[in-house]
Amino acid sequence: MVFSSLIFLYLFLPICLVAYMVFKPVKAKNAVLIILSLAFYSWGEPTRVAFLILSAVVNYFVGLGIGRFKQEKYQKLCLAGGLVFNIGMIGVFKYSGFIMRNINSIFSADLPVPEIVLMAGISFYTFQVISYIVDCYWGKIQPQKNFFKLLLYVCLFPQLIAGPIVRYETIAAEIDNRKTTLEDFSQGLTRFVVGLSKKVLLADQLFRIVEDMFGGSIGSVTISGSWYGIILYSLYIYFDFSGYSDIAIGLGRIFGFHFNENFDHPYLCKDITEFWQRWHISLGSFFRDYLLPVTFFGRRNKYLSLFLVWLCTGIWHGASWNYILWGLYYGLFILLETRIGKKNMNKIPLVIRHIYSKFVIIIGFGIFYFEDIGELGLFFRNITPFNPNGWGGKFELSSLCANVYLIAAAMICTFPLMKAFGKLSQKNDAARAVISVSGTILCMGLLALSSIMLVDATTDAFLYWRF
Amino acid sequence: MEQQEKTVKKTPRGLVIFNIVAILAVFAGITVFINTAARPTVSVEEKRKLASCPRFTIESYFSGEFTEKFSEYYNDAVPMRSNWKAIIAEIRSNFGIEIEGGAHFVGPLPEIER
Repeated sequence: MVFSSLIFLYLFLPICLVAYMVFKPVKAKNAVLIILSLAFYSWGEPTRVAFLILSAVVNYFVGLGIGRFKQEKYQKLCLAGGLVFNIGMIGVFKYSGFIMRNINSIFSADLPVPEIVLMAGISFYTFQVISYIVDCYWGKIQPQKNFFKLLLYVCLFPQLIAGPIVRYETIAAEIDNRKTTLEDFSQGLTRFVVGLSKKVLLADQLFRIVEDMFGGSIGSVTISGSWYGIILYSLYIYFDFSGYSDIAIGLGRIFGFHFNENFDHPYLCKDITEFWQRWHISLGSFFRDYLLPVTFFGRRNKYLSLFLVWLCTGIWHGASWNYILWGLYYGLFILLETRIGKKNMNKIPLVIRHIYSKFVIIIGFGIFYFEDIGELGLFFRNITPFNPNGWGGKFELSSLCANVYLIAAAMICTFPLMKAFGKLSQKNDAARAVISVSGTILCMGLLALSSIMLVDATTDAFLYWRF
Repeated sequence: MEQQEKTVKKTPRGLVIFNIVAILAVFAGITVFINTAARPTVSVEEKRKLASCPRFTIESYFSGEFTEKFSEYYNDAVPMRSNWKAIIAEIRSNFGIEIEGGAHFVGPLPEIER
């Protein structure tokens, strides 16, 4: 079930809210959330719930094993078993087809390629359980003794499909005991509507233009068309993914959970290192905390570790060479910035740094968009003066004019508007009242408008679902 | 004292309640409308039959067919669908300005031999 669909918004969610509010004890609320989360995940593909529960069962016993054994070698064995299971599950469901296709291609073999349908959210919930068992091993958290509480952590529907990757320690206390205050409920609702609007009113509409540009033959796109399309794709992907994170964080808040932020206005970054501190924060911090400290290449060789992190970041996004290339591309720039050093980077004029970072990010999303390496090559040709289709003009200009307000609104929304209004509202009581009431009225309008637009957007799933 | 001034002032309870009630009112209004109003069966503008409500069986549920078809029905046969479609077209036409003699394409570009 997609968050940005009428069936989720006006059938599933009302049932969920009513059922959740009816019960008072936390135990009953947890049971409601587990049942509805499993129903949510099983919608459209009931059998995949079995794998989700299997993952919870295995990691529950791994956690218990780590907690029970006192000797480190047995704890290590439990952890290794858990990691093999989790990585194996992602490997089979996400990468087996890709690996076999490449083996066939390299060795001119004819091995059967498994056609396994990718389970939505597998990369997200598997990373969550990996963080859980590693934290148990490191002694950062106590293993959960109640299976249903761990199952709730794994299957909680707001963040199940596309993150953020929530650490167990973030919500452990709230699983046991939580209370949704009026403030939580209000802020959760607002955040939910903002996220929905980002997805429906901005991302989906921008993607229609991107499809106009790249939906046909990439070989016939002009230079200006290629740049126009990829800039809009960069805006689209931000609003699509951060919109989903907003919905997840908002829903979590409504149910009394406080998830960490996943985006912090990434297009305001001044360099690529900063971009990754602001973009998909939960994934970046996962690799920083769980992969970087593992000394595969010895402590001295931090560059090889960096390479591994960015290789994994790329692979995580999908079973395709363009994602691997995308990860390594960012790794290269981070390496470059590390070599230059923060002090020297800061000496570069701010305007140049902004232009450099946006240029790298936009080209990067070109690599991200084209899964076919041949098409990616054409894209790289198309953005240069070597494009045989020329600079173009009328079609791109006409499309730009026809969508100029939408594009301007999207660009403005990449700035921290809510933070700015929040600050403004701190000035005095009158400002707070005016901004608060205006915000409420705006949210009402956005919810109504998003709902109307959804009548025509029934198949636009979130992009990160397939990761 | 200085520390007190630095702390973020909370939104007054009345405004918080107003926010909740107002957003939930829109949410509840649409929920009631979408689940109780009559659902169309055909779209005259699109010249097609809209998706119909599937019959539930255990087999169709476990094969995923029921949930898929029910989603299709729920999202396709929306009450007053043609009115919403007209409003959406109107909204989209206001995303920007039309230039004189400008090309206007809808959907993916056709492939053109050069």
